[in-house]
Amino acid sequence: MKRRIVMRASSPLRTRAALIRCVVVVAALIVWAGAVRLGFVDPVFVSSPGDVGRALAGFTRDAEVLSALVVTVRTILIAFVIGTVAGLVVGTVLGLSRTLKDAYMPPILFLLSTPKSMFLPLFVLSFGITTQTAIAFGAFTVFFYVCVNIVGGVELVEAHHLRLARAFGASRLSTFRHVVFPASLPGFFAALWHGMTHAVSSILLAQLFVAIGGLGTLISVYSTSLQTDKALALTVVISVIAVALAALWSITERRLTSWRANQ
Amino acid sequence: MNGKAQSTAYKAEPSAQNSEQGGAALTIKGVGVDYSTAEGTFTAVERVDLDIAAGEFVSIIGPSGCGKSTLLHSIGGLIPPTRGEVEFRGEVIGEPHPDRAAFVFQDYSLLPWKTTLDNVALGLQFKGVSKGERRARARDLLRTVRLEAFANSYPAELSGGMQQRAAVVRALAMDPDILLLDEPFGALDEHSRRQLGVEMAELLTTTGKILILITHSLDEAVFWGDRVVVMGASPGHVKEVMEISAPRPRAVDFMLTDEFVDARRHLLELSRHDLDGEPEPAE
Ligand SMILES: Nc1ncnc2c1ncn2[C@@H]1O[C@H](COP(=O)(O)OP(=O)(O)OP(=O)(O)O)[C@@H](O)[C@H]1O
Ligand SMILES: [Mg+2]
Repeated sequence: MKRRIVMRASSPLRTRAALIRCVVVVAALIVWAGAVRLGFVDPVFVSSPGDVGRALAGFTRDAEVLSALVVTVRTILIAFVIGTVAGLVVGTVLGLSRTLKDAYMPPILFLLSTPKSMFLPLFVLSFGITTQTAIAFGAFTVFFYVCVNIVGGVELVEAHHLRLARAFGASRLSTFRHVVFPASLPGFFAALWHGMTHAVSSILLAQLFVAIGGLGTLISVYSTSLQTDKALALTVVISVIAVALAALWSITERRLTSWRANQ
Repeated sequence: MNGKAQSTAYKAEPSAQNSEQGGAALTIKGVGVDYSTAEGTFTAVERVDLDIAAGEFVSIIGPSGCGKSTLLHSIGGLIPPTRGEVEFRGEVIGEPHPDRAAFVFQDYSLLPWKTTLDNVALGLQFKGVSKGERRARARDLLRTVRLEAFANSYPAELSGGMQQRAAVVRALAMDPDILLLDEPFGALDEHSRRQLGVEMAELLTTTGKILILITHSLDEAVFWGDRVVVMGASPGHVKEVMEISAPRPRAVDFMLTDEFVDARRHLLELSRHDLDGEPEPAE
């Protein structure tokens, strides 16, 4: 589950890459606006960049949207925390014990590879049409991704580093703190990263399909009532949140694993 | 560990195998090590008997895979011997105990996420020495191997030889009774090896510790050793133990003496058959 290669392009290269990205976005917006203006597509179904922009601006004064945003962010965080803590604990225990790993990893990997949305109806049955459904479903999804990445991270601990700790008289706790934990940091970060992205997507999914409030439910309301501009504007809001989270994340990770920079 | 006071007493007599203290401090009694592998048990070391006096320097040579590292790990308590036992001052060595025996590993094993300074201070940290004190001690030790400028660098930023020097002082930081050196200069070319050897000479030989050095260099083995243990392979065993009687510490001139040249020639003949694949140091 390697997410990206640790390598930093020189800054002129990076600027150029960013520029190319912008060109594509701008071009897409122009094609979209042109297609609507020339009557190739129906603005009722696809809206137009101008309308979406106006809808976005309107959100800042829209109490319904703002409270939905708060609900969604809060639900995501709660699901993320519960799922991550559970995944961390179980993942560390499985990672450190061969026997437990052999026993429990196969079912976990099996569940990981099945689409989690399949289980959403079961959660609705148990928790009803409430926010708890979203939280439980989100935490459930997050758990698997965190757990598997933590196990993978602990596997990265090298035998000769453990031997070193033993030779120099490390206690169990010291071995964990100075060897196992730092060695599994990359896996730890991958785990948190996957946990966060899946918390976001599973909560939105739950809100989209179960009318429990939040941005997901709002998108579904706007789409069914053909308020396409607002539905699209909400999608933009969500994307911006996701991108901001990702940026924050990579900065933190880079700082905390700076020793890897020169390897 | 109460051995500290005793080890100071030995410091006055680096060549303690001749001392009135007489008997061995470190006794390797019929030590054998089997590994269990997928194909069954594999005997890495068949049987080794060796008595080592306090302050003695023992070199171990032998072909690759003959069980040198395995034996060394057994001596330090890292691998429990399948047969026999290792005793230090009458006490059986069961678990690793860095105050008693500290390792310099063949692959140096510096932790990549710690700075050179913190790597050197690692054993002290495990022992619970305060941050200020262990860093001060580590800094002093780094100075002795001219690495003080790299105290805050990460191992990835050091050359192989620099990492080895750091690993040597990390072991010295424990002030152990026994230093177990597994090819500490292995990654170096002949010139830096000699250079480093001369530097280390003072550090290593004036301390009165037992030193056990695994090396592939016959020069190194003879130059340093009070005795040279020649091991043979499949399964690992001791072929011969050779005394080098010249007093230590030895000056570089020792390499020109008859004793050195004769000993080296003898070892070369002994190892000619099984050092296949191991390049001899250039003459
Ligand atoms: N953990 C292990 N499990 C199984 N076999 C092992 C293990 N460690 C070492 N061996 C085997 O034991 C033998 C001795 O290994 P050892 O590392 O002690 O050799 P060595 O003399 O130090 O070699 P070198 O000079 O190349 O370092 C080798 O044949 C090796 O394959
Ligand atoms: Mg070896």
